[in-house]
Amino acid sequence: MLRLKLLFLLGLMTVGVANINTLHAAETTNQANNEQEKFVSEVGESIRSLIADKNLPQDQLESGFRSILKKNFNLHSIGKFVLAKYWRIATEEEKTEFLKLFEDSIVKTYAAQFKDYSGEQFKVIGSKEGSDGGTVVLSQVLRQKPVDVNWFVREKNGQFQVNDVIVEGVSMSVTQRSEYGAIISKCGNGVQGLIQKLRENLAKQ
Amino acid sequence: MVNKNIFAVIISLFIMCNSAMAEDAPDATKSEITDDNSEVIDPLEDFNRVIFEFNTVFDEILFRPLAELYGEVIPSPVRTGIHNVISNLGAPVVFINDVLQLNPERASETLGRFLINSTVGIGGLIDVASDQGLVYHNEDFGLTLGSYGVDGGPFLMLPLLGPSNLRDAVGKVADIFMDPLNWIAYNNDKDRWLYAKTGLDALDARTNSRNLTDSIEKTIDPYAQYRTLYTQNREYLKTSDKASNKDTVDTSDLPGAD
Repeated sequence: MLRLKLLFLLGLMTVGVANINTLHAAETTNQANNEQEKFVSEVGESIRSLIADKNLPQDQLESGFRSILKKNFNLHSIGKFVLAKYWRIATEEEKTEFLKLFEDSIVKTYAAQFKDYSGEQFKVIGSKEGSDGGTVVLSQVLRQKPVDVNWFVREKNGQFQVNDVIVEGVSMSVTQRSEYGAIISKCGNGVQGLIQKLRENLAKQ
Repeated sequence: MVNKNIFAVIISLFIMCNSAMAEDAPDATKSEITDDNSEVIDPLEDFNRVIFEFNTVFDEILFRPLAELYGEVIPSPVRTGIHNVISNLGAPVVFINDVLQLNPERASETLGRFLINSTVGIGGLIDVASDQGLVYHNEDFGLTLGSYGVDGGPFLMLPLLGPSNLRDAVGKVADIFMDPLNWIAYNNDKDRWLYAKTGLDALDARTNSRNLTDSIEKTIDPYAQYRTLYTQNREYLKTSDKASNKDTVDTSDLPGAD
């Protein structure tokens, strides 16, 4: 029953990512980290207010989420990370095309999951330094068993940007990198193959 | 007789586990692993994928419909009660592993939960302990081995049980053996209660994970998704809540500065 238990746990997590309720920036003694924690609170709150409106049509939910994503997430850096070694061999056109499709598929995937939102409380509980720079803001979605959601935040041009969201140890970026890597090595047509596959998948949804 | 055979299997699994790790250790450099887009060792991928296909078919024709039926027919409060009873019955194994991990705080939490929920909580039906601040945590022998420094070893897709690795598969067998409830049921010819428990546990978990399963199945390579989700989550469970008062988080394998 290992798989099932895992699935159950991961089920909580996925819902956890989607279910971001009222945010309270936790008090912390570390002044420097307060800014990052405040930033995460704000991003969370903007997502929460968007998905709390259950009457919002799907296309408006998607466009609202897309603008939050573009404003607060470093999609270029995440896209580069998920392509890993294939980023280096991709042409400029492929990179541009990939980043566009990558954004579309994030929007589609998460917008679909926001439907499950059922009003859990969410709170930022602190932050830690990243080993390679940046800050990891720790937060929890409060359920019977709290779900740990960590946000990897980096500063770029004086602005904070989310570089990753880690739910119960599962990094969204690492997970995506693993899937794309598997696709590329399976279809054997490099980044072109992945782009093709992403297009097909988006057309299906 | 049966027991002897199973012990033989466990011992050989242990040996395999150790030799597999010994082989991997010297020449698998970090750059090789990360370059391959995968933090997971999966030498049995072809075989694992066959098992995964089998599991997928089994899920489609039998397990998913049953879970859907369970979710629709049984009212939500009853399902919560069932869930609580099953998780309370798992407490002895969690407790033993807390002890084996030399974690007295968590062991006493688990023991306290079990005592309160079994009595005040009417045989585990109501999770009273959570309201008292004794929050549930899971623990198993795979994680205990992990805390001793045993690596996961090669990734395994188990029939029906799903994603695992060599260490956790061994741990799973050990958990079955260390569970006093299994011994009690076995010695009193009450095996059918164990089957009922296992079946309900499976239905409960499958019903609750419906949304996640659906979203994974929509991805382009669900097998790769399960593999990485499992591995990352187990790595996290191994270290979480266990005196992790480090001030920094290892972010070396996360998206870098642009």
